[in-house]
Amino acid sequence: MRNLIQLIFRYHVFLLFLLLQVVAFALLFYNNRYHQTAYLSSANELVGDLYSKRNAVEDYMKLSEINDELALENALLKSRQRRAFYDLNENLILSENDSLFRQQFVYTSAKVVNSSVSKRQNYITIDKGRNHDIAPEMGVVANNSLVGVVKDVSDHYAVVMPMVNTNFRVSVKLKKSGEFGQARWTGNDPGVAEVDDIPKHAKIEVGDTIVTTGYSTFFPENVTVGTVRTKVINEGENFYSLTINLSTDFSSLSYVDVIINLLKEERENLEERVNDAG
Amino acid sequence: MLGRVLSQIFRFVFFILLQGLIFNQLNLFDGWVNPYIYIFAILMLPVETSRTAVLFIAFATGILVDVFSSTLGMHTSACLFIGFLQPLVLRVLAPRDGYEFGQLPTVQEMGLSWYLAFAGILTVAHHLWLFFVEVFRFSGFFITLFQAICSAFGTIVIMVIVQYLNFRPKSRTRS
Repeated sequence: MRNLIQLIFRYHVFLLFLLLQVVAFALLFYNNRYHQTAYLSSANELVGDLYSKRNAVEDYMKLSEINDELALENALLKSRQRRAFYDLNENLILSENDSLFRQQFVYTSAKVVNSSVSKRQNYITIDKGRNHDIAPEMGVVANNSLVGVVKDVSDHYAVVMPMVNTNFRVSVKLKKSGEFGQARWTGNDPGVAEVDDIPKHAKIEVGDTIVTTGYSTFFPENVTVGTVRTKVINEGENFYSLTINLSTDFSSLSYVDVIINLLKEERENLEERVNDAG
Repeated sequence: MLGRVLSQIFRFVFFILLQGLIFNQLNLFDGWVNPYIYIFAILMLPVETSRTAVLFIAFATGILVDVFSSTLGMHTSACLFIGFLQPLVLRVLAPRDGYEFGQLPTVQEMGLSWYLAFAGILTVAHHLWLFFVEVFRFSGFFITLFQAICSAFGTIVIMVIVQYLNFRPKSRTRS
C-alpha cells in the first residue's frame, strides 16, 4: 500500500496527464457523436456574440467599397443640384433651350490614387481620365472645398496640380464683403497658404472665410478655400498680406470631385473675341 | 508578483481570442498552413511554474480554443500533451547554471537559437498530436505529417515575430 502511494506520488504529474487526457478524449468522442447539440459549441451564446462583433469589424473593412458607391451617388446628386445649373431665367434671356435652367457644372467623383504634400511641387493622381470626359484645366474640389486644377490626363488617370503646389494660383474673395485677391501656397506647411492683393480698406477678421470668385472658368463661385489665420499690412503698402488655413486636408485626401464646366467654351470664345477685337 | 500573474492572465486571454477570432479563419497556402498560435499561452509560462499548474493551464487553454472551433477535446488533448512535455523540454535545454528565478522562456531572455529549439520541439509535438487526433487514422500518414510540419513552421515564425514586436528587451544584466 505504501509502495502504491509512493508510486502515485512519484508519478503524479504523469498520472494527472493521463487522467486529463482521458477527459479530453471522452469530450472528443462525446462531442463527435452529438456535436449538433454540444453544450460548448460555437453556437454558445458568448462565442456567438463575439462572432457577431467580428462580423461588425469585417463590415467596417468593407467600408471602402461602400464609399466608392456613395461618392458616385453624391457626384450624381450634385450634378442635379440647383447650383449646378446656369440660371437662364435670371436675366430673362429666353433661348431655344426650353427649360428654365441649363446645366453648367457636372461633378465627377474620383478616387485619389497617389498624392504628396512634402515637396514644393506636389501633384495628385486620380483614377478618372480622358475616358471619363476629364480634360486639363478642370477644377477639382472635395466636399465643396478647393483641391486644385487638372493638369494632364491619360485615358484612365488624371494628374491634378493641387493648392499645395508653389505654381498654383487661384483668384479668391472674402465671402463676407467680396473683396478679391490671389491665393498661393507658401511652400512648407500643407495647411497654410497666402492671400495677396486684398485692398487695405477691406474689413477682415481672423477666421473669415475665403472662397473662390467664379472669375475663372475652373471653379464655380463660392467654393471654400480656407479661413483667415493672420493679417498684416506691410509698411507703405496698400494691400493686406494674409495667411489662411486651407480647408482641405491634403494629407488625408481620398475622394475628390472633378468639375466639368459645360459653358466654359462658350465663355472663353466670347472673351477671346473681345480681346482680339481690342 | 500580482502584476506578473495579471499580465500572464491577460496574455492567456489575448492569445486565445486571437486564435479563436482571427487565426482559426486563416488557411494560408491552400490550407497547408494553419497556425495555432494560442500555444504561445503555454510556451510563455515562467520556467518555475509547477508541472501540475502547467497541466491545468494547458487543459484550460485547450478547452477554450475548442469551444471556439467546435472541436471539443481535440485541442485539449494536444495542449495537455505539450503541457506535459514543456517542463521536460525546459529541463533538457537548461543552461549550465540553471534558470534564474522568474525567467521567461522568450527570445529576449534566452536568445533566438535557444528559443527556436524550445518552441520548435513543443510546436511540432503539439501540431503532430493535433493533426493526428483530428484525422484519427494513419492512412494518408505523410500528408498529415507534412501538413502538421508546415503549420508548425508557420506558428513558430508568427510567435518569433510577435516577440520582436511585443516585448521590450529587459535591462536586466545576465551573468
